[in-house]
Amino acid sequence: MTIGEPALLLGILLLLPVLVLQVRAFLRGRREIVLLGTHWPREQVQRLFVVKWFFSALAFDLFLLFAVLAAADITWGEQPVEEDRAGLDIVVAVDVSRSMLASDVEPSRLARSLAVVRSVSRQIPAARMALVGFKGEATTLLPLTDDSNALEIVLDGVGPALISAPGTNVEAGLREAIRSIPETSFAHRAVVLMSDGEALSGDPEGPLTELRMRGIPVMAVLAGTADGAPVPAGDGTTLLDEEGRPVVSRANPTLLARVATQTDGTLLRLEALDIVTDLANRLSEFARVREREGFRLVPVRRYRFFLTMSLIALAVSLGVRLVRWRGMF
Amino acid sequence: MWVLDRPAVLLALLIVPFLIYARHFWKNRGGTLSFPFGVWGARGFVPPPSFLASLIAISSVLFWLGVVVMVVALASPQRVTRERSFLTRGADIMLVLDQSPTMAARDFQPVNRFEAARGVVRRFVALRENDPIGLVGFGAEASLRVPPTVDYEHLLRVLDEMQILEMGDGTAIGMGLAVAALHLESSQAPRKAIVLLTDGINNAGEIQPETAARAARSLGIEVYVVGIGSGEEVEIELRDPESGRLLRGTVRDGFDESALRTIAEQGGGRYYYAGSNTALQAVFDTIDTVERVEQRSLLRVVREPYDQLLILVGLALILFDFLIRRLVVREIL
Repeated sequence: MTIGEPALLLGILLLLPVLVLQVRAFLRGRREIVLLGTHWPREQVQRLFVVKWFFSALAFDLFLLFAVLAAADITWGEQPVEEDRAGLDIVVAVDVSRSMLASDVEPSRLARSLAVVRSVSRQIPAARMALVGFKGEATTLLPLTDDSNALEIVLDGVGPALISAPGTNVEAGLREAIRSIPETSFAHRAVVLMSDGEALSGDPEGPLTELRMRGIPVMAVLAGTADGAPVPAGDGTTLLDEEGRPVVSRANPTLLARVATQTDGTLLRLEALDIVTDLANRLSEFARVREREGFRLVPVRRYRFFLTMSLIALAVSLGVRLVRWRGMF
Repeated sequence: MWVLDRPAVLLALLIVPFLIYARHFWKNRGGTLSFPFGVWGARGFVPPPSFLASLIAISSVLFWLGVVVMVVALASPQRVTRERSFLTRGADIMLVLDQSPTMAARDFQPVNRFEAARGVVRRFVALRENDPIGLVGFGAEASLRVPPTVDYEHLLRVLDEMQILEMGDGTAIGMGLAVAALHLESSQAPRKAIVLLTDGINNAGEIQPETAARAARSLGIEVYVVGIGSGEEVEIELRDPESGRLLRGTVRDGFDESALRTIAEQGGGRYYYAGSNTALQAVFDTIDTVERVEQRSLLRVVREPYDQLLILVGLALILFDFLIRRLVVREIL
């Protein structure tokens, strides 16, 4: 089961003020109903009020809960969708933040990443490639093309200086990767995300949902090791923190693993000896399988179930109040 | 186009009028207490209009509007668009644009030659759908700006960023053609073409234009040459991209039409002269017609759901009614 808009689940917190108002109404109502219904037996009136209030309030709370769940776009299960495509378009989104200059993967995380891109493009020459660089923001470095000469030229010039905005905004990287995939493309599409996963900003949920719905897997390549390495300052020294200690960057697989899982991709490690062959084979195999099967699986949205339950609960809440019980109210 | 994936669900709206009657008008409904106020046989008590009564009425309307909106959300409203996917490959086209200082001549009123060229290139790209188009800029040097791509948004962005003089003070036509040919060399497109726009004579670079044009032809690439300029003395105004200084002067055209014809002949293509904005547009219209490949495409239907927005709107309206009744009206049930 996945939740398309987890932030909307915060709407469940609305239950708190709603409950407060309902309890307030109950406490006041228990007194006032006796004053208003003096011609009925007191105990019966109070009991009836408690019962009606309880079921009406409970049903309204369920209405709110199910409505929030409906809005949160929950999916479970999969259904096949026809996928009639041929060929392969690959968009590589590379983290070009300063931490990618760490040398726990030699010669550096970034240099090794670019070398892998170069090698993979040679192993899949028929694929069109695009290159997106991201730091605090993202930019297309190479638009989708089968011009391998252009790819070589661009790869030689990739570095942190290309983008001025600091940070590592993976959401921006994924959005730019999606933008650079032309809608007129008839080929299978895949994204390769290369990052050390450290200090990532942005919320990738939106682009991940779009990638999943469009059947575009993300092969996430984790650049760096758990032990990490000092971050170069660019002048031959290493970056120092406020206390004068070297800043050490450690690879963090958490977000990259999530990106890969949510898009039916894979998480790979840059330092693996067979990373080039592994990545190239996975990309080629993905296109081959889709072409052979002619369909892909998409998650089934279940909002209708929750919305139906929500409307039923609202109707019950209304009905409990509208039906006159025992000739009283 | 807007559609409902489950329109039958809207039948549920038929019970809404009955619910409205039951909640607001049915005399025997629960949740209310009745008190006699009038003399038997006389007119009943009718409360005077008040702000509270108006607020309750508005709140009730919003409540039922929220219910209707949520029922519509249940019917799965979607925006349907058609997406064309091309099954065949288009023609690869490299545009080679002169960025030398003379391109700032203002004889393509109201703009200069470079702006006029940029304008027609924009229109040319807008008419294409599946043809990978690339961009090479040249002055004293030549450089690939965009490889052949169908990412026209990126191409146009780079085109808008190009400036006169950023490739140096010179006209290396041969280098521009050579760079373009290099990046079409391995192309598998059924047709390949280079479109060269220049107003000058080759006076820089190691490769002669005729040599580059012959090399392009041997790679199966056709070379179209567009000579632009009015042939008269004209004003020139440009800003140095490095220093930001504004430079002004006059220039008398210098392109050798016979040399440009030779380049086109060597490249197996055609030469065109464009002395005005209109003529330049006409030339590109002609090239657009010539460089066309028969395309096969597939129409896909893309559905974008809008239920989430409606659910949130409906929920907000119903909660608003709840708040009014609990906080302002102080309903106890």
